[in-house]
Amino acid sequence: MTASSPQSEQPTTASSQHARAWVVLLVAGVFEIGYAVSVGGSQGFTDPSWSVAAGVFFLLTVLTLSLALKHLDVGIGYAVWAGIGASGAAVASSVLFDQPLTPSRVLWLAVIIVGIVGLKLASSPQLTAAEEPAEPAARQ
Amino acid sequence: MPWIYLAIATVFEIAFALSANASRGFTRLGYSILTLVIGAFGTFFLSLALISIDVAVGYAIWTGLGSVGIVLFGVLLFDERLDWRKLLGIGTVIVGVVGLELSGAGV
Repeated sequence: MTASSPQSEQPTTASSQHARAWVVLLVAGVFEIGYAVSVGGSQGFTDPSWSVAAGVFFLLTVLTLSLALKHLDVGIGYAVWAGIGASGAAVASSVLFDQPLTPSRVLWLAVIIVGIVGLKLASSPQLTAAEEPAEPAARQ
Repeated sequence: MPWIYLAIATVFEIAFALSANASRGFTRLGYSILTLVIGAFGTFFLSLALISIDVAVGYAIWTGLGSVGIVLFGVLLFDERLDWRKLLGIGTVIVGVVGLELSGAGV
């Protein structure tokens, strides 16, 4: 999008920072899957290697999520991160552990995840700002 | 007992979000430390719950009811508006949790 500029030493542009924040957010979502699976695998923090993994993934997901949210809309960011985390955790745990994803389970998990994503989007300053000044229509 | 652990973990998850918010992106030291401590407690109780509840189910219910609690606390504590989108989201999460349990798919 940017035309070639005479200045060669340009500071990071807002759009490339935004793109990088999205990548960091997707990575945070993957770390959250790792967190969910490791917490499950830790068996109440009695399994040493899963427990260490849980601690590491916890710090990584918190760190990357907060970095990404500095440059993204908080509601949209949380929605994407939580959506990746919950759906990824369901798939990953069914692969790694003996925990089947039955059709009925997939259905109800999908309903919960849609609800979570909707709730996060409902808290988005960017998405709700457009409607804010509108007066509610007078209806009986 | 696993459901009691999951409920305790959910309360910690709500407190975690409130504390993380107060830390302003982990720029205030006191709230940042508090956030990590609360997160550690929440993680521990979640791991106790997930000994007998499958990860997919326990994690989804934990984060789902956590999200509902975070929105409700925002309304109660910070005068945020409970608009139709939030009500729809809360309703959808609750329908999902109840459906999961009533269908027997959550065991």
